[in-house]
Amino acid sequence: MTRRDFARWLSLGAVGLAAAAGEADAAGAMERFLERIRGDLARFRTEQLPLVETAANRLAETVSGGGRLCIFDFRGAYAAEALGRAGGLMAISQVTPDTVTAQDAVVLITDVASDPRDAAMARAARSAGAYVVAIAPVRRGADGTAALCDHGIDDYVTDDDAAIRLPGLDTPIAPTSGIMNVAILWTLAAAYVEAMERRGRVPSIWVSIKCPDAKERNDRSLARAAREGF
Amino acid sequence: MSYAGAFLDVLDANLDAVVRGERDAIDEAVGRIARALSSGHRAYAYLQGHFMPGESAPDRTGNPPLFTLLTPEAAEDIEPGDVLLASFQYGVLTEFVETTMRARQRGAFVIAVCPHSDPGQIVRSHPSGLSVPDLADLTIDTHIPVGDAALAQTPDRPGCCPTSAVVQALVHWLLVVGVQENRVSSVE
Repeated sequence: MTRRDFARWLSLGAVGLAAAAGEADAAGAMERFLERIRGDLARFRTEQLPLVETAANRLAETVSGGGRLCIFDFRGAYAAEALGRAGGLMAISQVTPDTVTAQDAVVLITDVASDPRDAAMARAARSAGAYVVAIAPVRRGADGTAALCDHGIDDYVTDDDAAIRLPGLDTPIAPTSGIMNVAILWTLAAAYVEAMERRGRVPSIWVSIKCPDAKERNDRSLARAAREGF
Repeated sequence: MSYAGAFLDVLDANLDAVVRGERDAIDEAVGRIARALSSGHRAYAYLQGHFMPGESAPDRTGNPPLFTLLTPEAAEDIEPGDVLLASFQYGVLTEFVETTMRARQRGAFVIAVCPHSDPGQIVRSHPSGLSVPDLADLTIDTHIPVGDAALAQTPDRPGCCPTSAVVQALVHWLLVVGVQENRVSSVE
């Protein structure tokens, strides 16, 4: 693909990019990876926003009823992204199968369709009476983790989570799950904030420590989050 | 417009800005990293913060062994001709700036994946007042919203829902893919 072709390809827009997939074989590897991500994000928006709103409402119902918002991620990268993060929620906790309760609403995030650690978490949460939404490769494993949860938001992961094949290399490279799962996580967080605000319960949010007045604002918000639970 | 839709609008615009504005920088970074590796030098990745250390871990699915992960202590191992890829939300914390300074002093070509931020809005922690993009030979600007918040502040709460992790991860995997393609093409 020439630079001019790339510019034309960009002008098609995100949905057009997927439609132009016939060009993909001739495109460079970076263009193919970018096309895959933009196409998956466009599909997510078109196909799954109502599901995101439904899940966010369930999370907000639990928290405004005195419960906890929780995250489970056995790999750890998504919990690291969600906890103590500028622009993120203050009142969110990591949970394990041993600590989950009926008062919890759990966001389970995973790169794989089926894993015993995810299954154990989902089963423990459901049997405790907690609400669980998975962000996972839903369609890749019809009987996987997402089937054990109340709702499953698909991250469109396929091909063993490596999107790019290169000639001469036996193993494909470049996972899409990380980018998609984080994009879905923050979309769900946005919907949750809106659902809480509709209930008159504004969630406490971290201000970046790199902002000039962050400490005072965060101290105030932390005190409120501890007092009110959100 | 729902908050979820608004978040996705901002994310789309953010990705558009990176794709349109940083294509040349990404191409140059791919070339620099590929040339360093093919001439026997190392490509270091310094990826601190929330998401990127896990996302780029050596055992991550689909992650070829191109980069040597850098810790501040290992900066003394850097040699002239090496490349350092430094990817941060802002690149303003003291440790990040110190390590980048050491890498430059030791002769590395420094590629920053960070926004060009306004010191009036994003405080520099290092006594020099510098940030990683100020020190880099090449910067791929992540174009994140001010404060890394896609949803604007309201009277009741700060801005929320960051885009930086998505953008940093996208740029990282574009670089990995581009470098690996370059290396495969060179062998052919």
